[in-house]
Amino acid sequence: MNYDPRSWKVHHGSTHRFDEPAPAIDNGSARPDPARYHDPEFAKAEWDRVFTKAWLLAGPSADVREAGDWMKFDTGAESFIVVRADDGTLKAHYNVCPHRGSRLVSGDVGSQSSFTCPFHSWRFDLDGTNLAVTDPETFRPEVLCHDHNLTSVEVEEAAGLVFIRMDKGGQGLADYLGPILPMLETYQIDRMNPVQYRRSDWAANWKGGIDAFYESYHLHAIHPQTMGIIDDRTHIDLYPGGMSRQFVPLGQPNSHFEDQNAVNPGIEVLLKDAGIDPANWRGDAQNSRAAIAAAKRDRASRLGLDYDRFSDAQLTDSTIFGIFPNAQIGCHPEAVFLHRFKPHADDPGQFTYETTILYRHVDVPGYGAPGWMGLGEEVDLTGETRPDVVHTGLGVPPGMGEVLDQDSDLLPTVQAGARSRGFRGPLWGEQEARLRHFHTTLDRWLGA
Amino acid sequence: MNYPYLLWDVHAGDAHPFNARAPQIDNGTGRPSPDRYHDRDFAAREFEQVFARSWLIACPVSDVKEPGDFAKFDIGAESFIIVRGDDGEIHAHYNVCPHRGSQLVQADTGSITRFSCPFHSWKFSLAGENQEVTDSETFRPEVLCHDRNLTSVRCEVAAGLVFISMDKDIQPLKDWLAPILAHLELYKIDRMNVIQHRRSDWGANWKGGVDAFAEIYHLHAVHPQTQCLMDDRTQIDVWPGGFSRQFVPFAQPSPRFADQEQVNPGIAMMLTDAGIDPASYTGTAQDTRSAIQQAKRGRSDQYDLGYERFSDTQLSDSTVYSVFPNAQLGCHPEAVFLHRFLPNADDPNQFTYDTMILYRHVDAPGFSPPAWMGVSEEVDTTGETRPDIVHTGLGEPPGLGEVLDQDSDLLPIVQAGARSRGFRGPLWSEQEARLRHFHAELDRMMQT
Repeated sequence: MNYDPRSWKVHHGSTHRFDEPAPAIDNGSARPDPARYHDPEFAKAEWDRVFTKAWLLAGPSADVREAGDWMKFDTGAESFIVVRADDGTLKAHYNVCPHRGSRLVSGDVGSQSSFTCPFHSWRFDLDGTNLAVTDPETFRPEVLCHDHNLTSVEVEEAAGLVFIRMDKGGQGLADYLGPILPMLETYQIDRMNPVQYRRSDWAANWKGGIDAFYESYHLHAIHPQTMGIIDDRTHIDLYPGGMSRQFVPLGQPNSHFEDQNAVNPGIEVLLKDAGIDPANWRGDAQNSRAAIAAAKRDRASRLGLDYDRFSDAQLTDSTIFGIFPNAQIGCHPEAVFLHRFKPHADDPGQFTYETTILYRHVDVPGYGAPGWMGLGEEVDLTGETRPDVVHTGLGVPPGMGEVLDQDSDLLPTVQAGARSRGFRGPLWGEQEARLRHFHTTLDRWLGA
Repeated sequence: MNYPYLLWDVHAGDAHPFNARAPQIDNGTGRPSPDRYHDRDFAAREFEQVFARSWLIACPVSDVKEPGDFAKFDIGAESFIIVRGDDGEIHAHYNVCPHRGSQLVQADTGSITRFSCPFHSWKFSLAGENQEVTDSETFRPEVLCHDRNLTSVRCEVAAGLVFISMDKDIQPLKDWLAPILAHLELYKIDRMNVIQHRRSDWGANWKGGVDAFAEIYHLHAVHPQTQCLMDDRTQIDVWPGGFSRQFVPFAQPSPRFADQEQVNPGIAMMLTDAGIDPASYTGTAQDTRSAIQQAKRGRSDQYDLGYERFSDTQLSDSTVYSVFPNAQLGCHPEAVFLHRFLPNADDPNQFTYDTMILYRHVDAPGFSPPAWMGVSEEVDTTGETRPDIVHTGLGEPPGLGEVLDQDSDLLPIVQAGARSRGFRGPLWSEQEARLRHFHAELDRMMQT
């Protein structure tokens, strides 16, 4: 290996445990068959051997804090209800009435003491036990001897996030997440609340979405406007089980950006966000990132926030975790971004991109969300109001800001080429080490 | 065969070798299974067996005149770039970046010095060789040892048209086109330019489009307004390889039209086009076609247009060639109409109809495209400006003139019936001999 994705010194001599590189994993240099991006048979195998057997990120714990709180989680052709039961434990059920199959809930979140089917008003408690069959005397007893409770699936919580698993068996969630679990825990996501929730349908395979979000190699080409402030010199770590992380340095220029020294307008915005007045600041673009880290640390100690658990890189950068198979979490001290790439029920050429911003409310004057997060004035950051999901259809710009709209424009173009007879399979560089790691893990599950 | 359609002699004026009938081919009387019009498996096999093993018309040579000129050709799920290299040769590549599969170009035509992928800015020469891998030091050498040039396809030129083939072992284009090549060459399409280019999506199988355009049996029913000036007595010739032609006599009434004598307004327009003043014209509708032929010959002498190479019929009529599998060329001395019927990537119940007018500019006062071609005043007929492609979606009238709009209205109705369980397969007459010939060749390729 002549290039080690762990070798770029993004941590400036940090001794913080969090920044320690993971042991190298060699996933080889092969060129995989591109059928994975478009073949319906491949998509079916993926569903049968991966999605039904893996822990899937269903949503934040914040959506199901109190008894009766529930959230709906849709993926592929399936829909689940995750609900906090009266005894405080979490339950997860197929969103399916055992009578004739109807969906029980159609909202995204809610709170109630029992579920009533919209078709014939059968009722179920939060545990999924049947409470009432309407007109039971009109059923032959042998019919009602069949199990008529909801069908439940496994559910566990970790790091403020709820995961479900359709098929029983295999590792518990903590073992499944492995080394990234304690890292995620440093963000105390359980104390955060959703402040923005977007869902949009994209004309690409779900793995095309995973791939694009797993590397910053494309920044210079698709998102040139970020080159002043997002560095593509990065640090990538791979962990067993298809998990990974990547530090995306913010507040310093990209390697392809011409002026590596001037404090450009983008960096000025980030300095201001951290409480530094760019007019009086004397450094250049090579130390603006360090200055932001120091300022955030300083501000945290003034506000009584415990930032000692974070390394400097965690304070400034986007620290992005990949959770196999289809979730990514962009982590910041102030907020985390949950990204999910949901396969389409029938068409391998489509997926649904879902993104949720979870924000930690700090009730101190002068504290707020960094400007680049794009949370408008009208957003209630206190966590009191659970925002509605905004859903945009295929071909509609998702309206998630310039960067994501650029991605949604390009991904169908990548998908169109990836399904061509003329495409012989991807050639991944070490900047794309997370893609290779993800696909290698996927292939392992498919072969299993 | 009990219908004497071979007895129709559509040729007025002198005998000419061009008009000679082709040796007869007997394609039988079978009733093919209608699956071909709607079955997904049939469509998928058709792409592999027929489209991937045929020469396909990609663009006119006039679209790639100078080094760097390129045209994009999309068919089914595939997209190709046809480009004139610095060496003056025309190359054709899959429109696919070998890195992650993204399409390289999105414009229909253009001019560039090299290709740059929009995703990670890999660069390729016009000949398809990789010139630059961005951050190549971040790739393991074994990864870059995989071939990283564009995937090229066969590309040859005949009769002013660029053809591509996905089959690297296909016979040379001139052998493929042999039966009709000399005919097409008469029109000197290489000296013509695109002056109008329209594309529209229709709710029918692509063969429904081919079928409708390969016979004039339907004129009286679908296009009754043409009966006064288009005869449906015709000459049909079929050649090995699925090729065929048909003469569609212009400027004389169909026998189904009541008044066979009067110079009706439609014919009067055609007389005017040919430089004859209808007010002083003394003949009947039975002589107008000959009069137009003679007038065009006179104009050829005047402007030195070299019409000696054409038969009289070629001067007045539409001489329509079928180029297997999916193109038809309506040929006139002044201009050629190129029609392509492009299968949809996924849905056998949709196709894209692509039609362009290729016009030979004659820099003489009073010379212009015949009015019936419907080229509007503002169109630049000199060939200096390559018009944009106007694309209309499914269900929108294509705005291609009354006749084509009538076809686009009817074809979804034919498709809806053709996919019915109640349809037992087409019953083709000898007026539809080109359809039977086309389907016979299609079946031959499907089976070998």
